[in-house]
Amino acid sequence: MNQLSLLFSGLLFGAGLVLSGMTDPAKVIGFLDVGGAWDPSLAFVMGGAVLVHATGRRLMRGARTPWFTGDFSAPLRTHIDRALVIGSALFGVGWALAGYCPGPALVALGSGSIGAISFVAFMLLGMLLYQVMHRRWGQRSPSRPGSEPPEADPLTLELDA
Amino acid sequence: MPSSRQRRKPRVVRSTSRPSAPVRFGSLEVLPLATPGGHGTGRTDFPGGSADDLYHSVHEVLYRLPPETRVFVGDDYLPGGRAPAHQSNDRFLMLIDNISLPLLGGALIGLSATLLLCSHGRIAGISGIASGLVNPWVSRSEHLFRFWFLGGLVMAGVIGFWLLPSQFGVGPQAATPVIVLAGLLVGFGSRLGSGCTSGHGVCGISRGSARSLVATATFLTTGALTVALVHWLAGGSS
Repeated sequence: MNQLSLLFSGLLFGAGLVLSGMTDPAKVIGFLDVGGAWDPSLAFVMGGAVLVHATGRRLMRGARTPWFTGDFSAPLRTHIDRALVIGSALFGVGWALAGYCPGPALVALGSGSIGAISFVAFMLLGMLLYQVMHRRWGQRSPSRPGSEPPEADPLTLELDA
Repeated sequence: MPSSRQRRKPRVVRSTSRPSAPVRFGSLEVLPLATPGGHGTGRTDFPGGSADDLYHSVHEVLYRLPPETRVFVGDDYLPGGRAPAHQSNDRFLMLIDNISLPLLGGALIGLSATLLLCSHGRIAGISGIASGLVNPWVSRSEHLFRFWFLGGLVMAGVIGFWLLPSQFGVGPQAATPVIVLAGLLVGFGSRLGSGCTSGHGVCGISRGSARSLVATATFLTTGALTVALVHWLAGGSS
């Protein structure tokens, strides 16, 4: 049940990405082309998802524990820091260059697209690079001492949004 | 097929096919656009025809032209003209047509994120989940969790490509060095910024997180700037 539920969540998420057109790099680039031939339709993907998920969160407010695990994971950090902004800025550049973000790229692996396969390979390499750098330098030198809660272990860090 | 425009400086229309340089005829500027897929009147059953390519040509190239554009199809002229078969200036109807699927897809994504929270108490941030694939420091149960969820994601791609191949794009993809750089930036950036379009854009915003709001505004801005810069560098200076 546990695994089936996960598989179903993944299928549902992927189906949403396919139906919405997020798996078409040209459409994504058209959405970001605000100054040119802007195609605003993909804004409704985020709109629809936020509407449903925010409602879902409201409905499950009374829930104590998840069905299959002990606890709800919550993001640890609340501060808006330099890492958040710089990381998101780099992410946006990469997203616009290829027209893929992580979810659609993983879904597009299923289409056998060479572009998606190479994108995912280098995306994972970029993630590995971050993880190695973070382990080597990140933990001992917080950007602004005292401004952040103590760093958590790498496992819980993964639970971030 | 050529399209002519009067009283309007040519703006290079983005298409997956490379736009050619404008050609001058006296006071007219003609901008050749590649719209492959069909024969002049829309038949796709001739050699080299493709219904997918033609659909893409019409929707992504022709429908994006400004409403005042006059399109002259390669052949099929009647003496005295022909009534227009499609009025591309009906932008509102086109938008309704274009938002129903994104809205439905978005709703499924929101449903999936809610299910994942109910069942495993986890946030559906794809970059966070995927990064576990290259993180040797996570536990075995973590790996199993990632394996099943990501498996469902890829399986949706297999089924989706089988049923709706046009949703995966029909145009040529970015050049390999661009893909490599983009992949590295997305991978590194999403970890440094602790999230991507799903984790920040959907889950974080649904939670009302200020961090996610800032992250989403940031990547939308740099994304839009990047597309503008790429188009400008590609020669689309207007």
